[in-house]
Amino acid sequence: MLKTRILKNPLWVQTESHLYGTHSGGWSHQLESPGTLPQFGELIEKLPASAWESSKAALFLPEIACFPLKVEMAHKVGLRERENYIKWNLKKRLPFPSEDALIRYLPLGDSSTWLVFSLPGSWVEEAHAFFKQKGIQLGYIGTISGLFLERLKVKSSRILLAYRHFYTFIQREAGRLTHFSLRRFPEEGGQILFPEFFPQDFPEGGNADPLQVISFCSDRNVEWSMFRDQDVSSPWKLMEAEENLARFLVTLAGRA
Amino acid sequence: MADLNFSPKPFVRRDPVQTLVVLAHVLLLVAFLGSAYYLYTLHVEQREQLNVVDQLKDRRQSLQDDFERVSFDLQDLDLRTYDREIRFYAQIQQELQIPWVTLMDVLADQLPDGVRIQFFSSGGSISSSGGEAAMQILAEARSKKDQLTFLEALRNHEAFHNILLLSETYEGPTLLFETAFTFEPATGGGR
Repeated sequence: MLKTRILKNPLWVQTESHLYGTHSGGWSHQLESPGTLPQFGELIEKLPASAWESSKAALFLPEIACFPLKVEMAHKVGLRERENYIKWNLKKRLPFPSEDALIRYLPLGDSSTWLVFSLPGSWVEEAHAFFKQKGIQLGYIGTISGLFLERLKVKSSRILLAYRHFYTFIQREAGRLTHFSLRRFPEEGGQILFPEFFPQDFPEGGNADPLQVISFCSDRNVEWSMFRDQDVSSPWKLMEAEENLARFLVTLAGRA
Repeated sequence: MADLNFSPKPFVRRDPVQTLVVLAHVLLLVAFLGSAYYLYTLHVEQREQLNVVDQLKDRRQSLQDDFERVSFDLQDLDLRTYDREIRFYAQIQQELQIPWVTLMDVLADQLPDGVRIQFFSSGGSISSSGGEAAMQILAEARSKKDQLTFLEALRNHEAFHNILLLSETYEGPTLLFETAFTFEPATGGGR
């Protein structure tokens, strides 16, 4: 499942509220401004020294930080014009100037719809330059879902990346991305309303492949475990512990 | 495969297929270089063998030339020996054709009492044109008169021609002389 060389390097993993590092010993840091892109210059003094000791690193941002958007192609657009067309389409949909946007995209379903991830180019350059100044090659900047879509061989065709308040759902058929959604959990009293949550977003129900859930919020692991224990007959099959990337990352980070 | 990496300097991506292709290319290159080196060694070895073959050819040609020369010399030597034998046997044959009995009888009739023949030899053959035989004799005469009588008798006989007195030597009371003549058996040899 994790057959990629990227994960052999120290990982910086950002969730909604925390920044985790899988360096030797592991570390975590609670972000002061949740939901925003990290400003590494401000974190030098707050992070342990081990965070700056590696020569290579990979940075995983939460999907919500990369503004995943769907772009409909009204007509067939050539490869050379595609990026400009997408940026033009995103002009009023991004919270920052689309001219500054770095975009990465892949087809969603048929080729008429594209899923686009965007980051401010100035922030990427700044982050890369900062790490370079520290002697670290930041060789991967992306998302966990991007890593799954791009490199990881996953058995299941349905994956749910569960953060604290929102989740990312990925569905693939024959290796092609057919569904991508980013939503908030239906919650009540801080607890996920599973009965509302599942039928709402996954109408395929029992006819679908087992759903693999990767939780990036350790506080939610109890809820997910309870759900698994209580709903034995459920068609939804949670990932086993050893396959849980979140647990894997947390273990590496020394937070298990 | 989509590229969803935002890093300006991404990690080098080592695709297994690409790695295999590169490895295959490296192996092919190594195999090609090995084959090229093997062909080069074969070429060098072939060139050396060709040189050896050329040397053997030259040696064979030289030996063949020597053989032909020796064969020619042997053939020439054989021919010369053969010619000499032919001439020798022809001479014997010619000599055998001289009618010695007739010649002796006719010559005896011409000898006076004071002359006797000591040595008699033929010139080797009878001429093909006239059937004459060149003869030479060494004789001893008691006196000059006897010598002249003998020579005169030869001159007067129709079977003897070209009578020449080659030499004469006085030894005490006797006179040794050599004379040459040709003998024609057909004219007077029959007596």
